[in-house]
Amino acid sequence: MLIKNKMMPGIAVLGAALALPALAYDVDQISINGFGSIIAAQTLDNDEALYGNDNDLSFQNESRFALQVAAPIGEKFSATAQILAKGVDDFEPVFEWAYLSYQAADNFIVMAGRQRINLYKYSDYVDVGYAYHWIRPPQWVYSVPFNSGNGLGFLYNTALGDVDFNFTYKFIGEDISDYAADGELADASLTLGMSHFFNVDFTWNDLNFGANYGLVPQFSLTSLEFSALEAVLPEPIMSEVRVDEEKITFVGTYIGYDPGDWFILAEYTQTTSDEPNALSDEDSLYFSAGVRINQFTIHGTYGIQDADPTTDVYKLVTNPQLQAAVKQLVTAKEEDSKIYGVGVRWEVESGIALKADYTTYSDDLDKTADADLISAGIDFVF
Amino acid sequence: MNISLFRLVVVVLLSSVFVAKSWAEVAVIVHPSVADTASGKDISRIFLGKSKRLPGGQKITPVSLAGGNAATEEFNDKVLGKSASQLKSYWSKLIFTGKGQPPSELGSDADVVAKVSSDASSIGYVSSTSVTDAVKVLATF
Repeated sequence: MLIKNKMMPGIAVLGAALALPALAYDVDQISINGFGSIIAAQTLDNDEALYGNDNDLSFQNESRFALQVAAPIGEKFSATAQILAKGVDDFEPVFEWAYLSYQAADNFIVMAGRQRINLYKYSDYVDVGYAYHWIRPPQWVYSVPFNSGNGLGFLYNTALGDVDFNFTYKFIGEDISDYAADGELADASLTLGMSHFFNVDFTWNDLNFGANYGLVPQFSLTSLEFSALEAVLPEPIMSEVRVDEEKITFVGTYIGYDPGDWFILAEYTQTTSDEPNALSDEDSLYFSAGVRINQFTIHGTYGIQDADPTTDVYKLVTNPQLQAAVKQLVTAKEEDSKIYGVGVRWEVESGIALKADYTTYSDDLDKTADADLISAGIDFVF
Repeated sequence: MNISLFRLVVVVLLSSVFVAKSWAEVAVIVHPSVADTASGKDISRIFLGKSKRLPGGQKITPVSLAGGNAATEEFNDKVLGKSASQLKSYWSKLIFTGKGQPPSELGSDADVVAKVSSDASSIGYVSSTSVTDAVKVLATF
């Protein structure tokens, strides 16, 4: 998937930030960090495609590079911009984060501006490959069509005895006028009205668990396919196809245990629409476990994804051609799939990790979608 | 084996034990004016950005030591319970999500001693052999 935000040319702003010493600003206070991943992947058979990869080896599709500049302003404020360039977007730089943060208290931060949506455990740093063991987090969970939004974020943390508690609330919305949904829809555009995202996270020694709740009161999706049907379908049927200001609820929970030499991790997520529309209700789940031997992590992952259409209104359409078109649209995301993966991560040195993995995907509802994918990559942070 | 070679071996073995011992201790240091105490857990929370104060309430800012110094690995392992790459991974989650920045890094034990002895709100760690009268040892590990 592909989300572009052409707020302004990233490089110019970075240049401006670096030019701040001209304003007698103490440049030592500025933190410059970055991360990136160079990933090569291909499927094993020439009619297979998975996560944007096909049978032609690509170094571009999942590679990315990001630069972040954070500059304190006085004692309590800080301005941060993170510019991300993804291979899938021809490395066109976009702002993933651009916010002003206010340290209201030792353990309370308010962020205003552009920021990531804290939908699931890894959503906040899904592009920071170095921060997790896989080449890519389980895509059946982490493939939501929006990553960032604009609004307010509230981050609170405290210690409850031996337990570290983190609470995050974000009030965020987003319009994506050139949203590309894996090439399935033409000229798609997506609107996420101002939405609420909550996360509670507990860490007790080696145990970490938490839950997410997201409420999107108004979610809209348009494309040429929808517009074409608007012209021909009667309103009672179209009203169950149209994705217009739909109320969508996201629920997720995760638990992990990591004493150092090994780890286990599980996450479950659910997405549901309040009313029938062309979107599917989805349940997804993964288990992952690994062992660490010196500089190597060897891991395995199992996942399932179940997506059911929220409407079968196409059955009421009498014209067979039209019925097929409506069915195609409302069942596009339907699936009942299983995913297995194994992989290895090698800490080359602190800040650089080499990874390789193998993923096999099978869909009980569509055997032609089955695929095997091999990937290798290098992740870095600085 | 003749006696002199045997002696040499013993001396080398002993000295290597001595060296290992002198590296093995890491001292967490604060300004001499700091009256507070802190447990290993408190110190770990401060260096992981989870707490900005000593248990007694005094505001404190950690400074860390660059990788490659003997005390760094000891401290990461014994106090934070993380390898260098686990620590890097931990901080990258916070840095790139706006939740925090790692402690600023100084080049040598002497730099840390100089910083802590001149700034009452800073806390650092060095090899215990680098400790001077200008700083107070809060804990050793």
